[in-house]
Parts: sequence; structure tokens; C-alpha cells
Amino acid sequence: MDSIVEEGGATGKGAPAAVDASRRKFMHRMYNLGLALWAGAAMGTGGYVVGRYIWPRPEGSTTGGERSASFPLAQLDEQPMVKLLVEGQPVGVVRVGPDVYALGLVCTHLGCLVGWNPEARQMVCPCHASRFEVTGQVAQGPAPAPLKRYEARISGDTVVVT
Amino acid sequence: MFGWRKKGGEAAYQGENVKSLLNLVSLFTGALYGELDERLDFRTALSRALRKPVPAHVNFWFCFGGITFLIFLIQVVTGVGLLLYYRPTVEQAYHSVVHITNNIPFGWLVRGFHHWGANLIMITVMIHALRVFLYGAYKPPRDFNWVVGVLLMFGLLVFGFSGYLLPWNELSYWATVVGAEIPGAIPVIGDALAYFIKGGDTVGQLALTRFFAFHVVIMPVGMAVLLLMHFLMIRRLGISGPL
Repeated sequence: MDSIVEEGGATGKGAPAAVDASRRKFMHRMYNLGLALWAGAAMGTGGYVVGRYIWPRPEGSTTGGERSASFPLAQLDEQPMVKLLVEGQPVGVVRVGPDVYALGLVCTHLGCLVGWNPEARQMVCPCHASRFEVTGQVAQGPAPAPLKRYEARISGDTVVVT
Repeated sequence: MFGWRKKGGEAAYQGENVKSLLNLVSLFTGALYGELDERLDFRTALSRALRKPVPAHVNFWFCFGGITFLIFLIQVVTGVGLLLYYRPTVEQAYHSVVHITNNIPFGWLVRGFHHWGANLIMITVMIHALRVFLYGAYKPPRDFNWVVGVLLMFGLLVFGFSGYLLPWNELSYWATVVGAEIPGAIPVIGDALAYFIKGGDTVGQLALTRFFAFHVVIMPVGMAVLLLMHFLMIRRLGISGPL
């Protein structure tokens, strides 16, 4: 803009003033550039976060966590029930005789986590004393439905729960 | 850089056309620095509205009203974000909140902002009220603004109480059961009031729907009106004097 005037008048006493003006102009440009970069970065990051958040995802691809979990079979010798997460849900694995059972631990009554009673061979809810057989069937109320059953396979010396 | 702002009769540049085009494309900056501003003079209008000198005794403690409003705006934005996924039914409310937190990209961030904003705003609004009280800023002619401010603070409490139920977990359920008993202790109208709040004798689906309506529609509209009054009055009356 002013550069034509400056170049034309950059002789004699006019020169220092022209240098000062362009220096100020440079600082101004750098300031604006920094502001623009900052605003761009902020809008880019914010736009990315908002875009990812609001963009719909297909149902079914939304369960968190692993779809299967495994642990060494010997662990069942040390503890009566092995707890793990399958698709983000708590699952307990117990052994009764030669068989291994995997049950979802969320009580179907009010959602407390049930525990394993080795003597009775039942899952017992600490909240309202619902009892479940190792197959998940309700042995005693108030639970209205059986526990969720998972498949537990013994493969070599590991147990795979799906 | 500011060459295009010069009126006609001066030498035009090749680059200015590009700049003008860029400014028209980027309306956001164009409104303040480009063609739009040249025609409508937003900058002067904005500076008239925003550039307000404050007295010299204003210090950090005077900022908490503004900080409260900033958090309120954050609550509005993140609340609208949560509204995209939240489902206000007893079957789905809790699962939708878990879904937002665990599965939606940055859902944990949006919910976290809303959760912590709700906590922080009570702290900042208390500091704001305390500052106004200790400076005697509630005295006439600002007494009506104090009244509106107290109403706003009660509004925030209602916001917090109604929002607390929405995740529909054990904590929020029993907090609401207990909380709804408090108005029940008011003489004469207490029982009717508790019945009205809960939408029935017990906290159930109707209570959730009701709290949801209060939290996302009724309260925000009421708060917006009160906030406008609050700001207009402080603008008209000015900031109170030093201690």
C-alpha cells in the first residue's frame, strides 16, 4: 500500500521515516499472522473434536472393550472365581467339577455385582440375596431373569471367554 | 495490509482483489476487517458496545461474575452436545450416558466439561455473590440487580438439582428422592409441591421427563431473561465504588 510512496520518497531525510513505517508494518503483519495461526489451530482442533462428536456412528459398532478375554487355567486353582471384562461387561468364570462356566456378574434385579459362593455353588447377589445356579438360572428371587451366560472354552491351558 | 480500506482515487493493486475476495469468503474476519465492515461499520458498533472503561479500583475479585457467565456459556454448548445423544427414559437414560462417556468420540470430554462446569459454577457464583456483599454493591440503586442475582443463583441450584437426576444412576435417583422430600416439609403447600416436582407419588419416568424438560428448556429460557436483565442493569447503573 504505502510502499509506492515510500519507494518514491525514500531519498534524503524521508528514508529513516520510511524504514520505521515498514518495520512497524512488519511487526503488525507478524502479529496478525500469529493471531491467524492461533485462531486457525484453535478452530481446527475445535472443529475436529466437534465434528467427531456429532458425526453419527452406526449402532452395533459401539460396544467398548474386547469381545473375548482369556486367562491361564491354573488361575482357577488359586481363586474360586476369575473376574474379567468381555465387551466392557464384568464376567465371572468358575469351575464346577470338570466344567468351566462364565456368567455375566450384573444381577438382573437392580444391577449389583453378584459374587461366587463355592460351598453352595451359586452366584449370590449382595444387595437383595438373589441366588443363581452356575447355568445362570434363578435359584432364589427377587431376580426376575437369569444371568447372562457367556461361552467358556478350555483351549490347552488357557480359558477363552466369548 | 490495510490498503483496501482506502477510498477511491488511489492506485489499486493486483493483490488487493485477492484480498478482497478472501475477506468476502471469510465472512467471519470480513465482518470485522473487510468489505462487510467497510459497508456496515461493525467495528465501531462493537467498540461502542464492548469498549467500556472500568473504574481503577476494579480488581481480580470483580471478574467472578464474568467467569460465572463464561462457565454458563460452556454449560450451554456442552449441554446441547449431550442432548444429541441423551435419551430421557428410565430404560435408556443411564445406558445413553454410559454410551456418551465410553463410546462417542470425545464424549468423555463433553460430559466432563458439563459435569465439572456444573460444580465450578457454584463456586464462582458464590465468590461473585460474596464480593458483591462485601463491597456493599447490593445497596440502592443496585438493589434490584441483587434480587435478580439471587434469583439467578436459585436458578443455578435448580439447574444442578434437575441435571443431577438425568444420568439415572443409583446416586442421582436417591439424591432426587431425598431432595424432593425437602419441599415436602414446607407447611400447607409442601405435599402438593413435592407431588408436582416428582410428577407423582414416587420418582419415576414422569419425574425424569419433568426434570429433563426443566433442565433443557424451561430453566435455560428463564435464565436467559434474568441474565439479560442482570447485564442491562449493571450496564445502566455502572460498577459500584471501592471498599
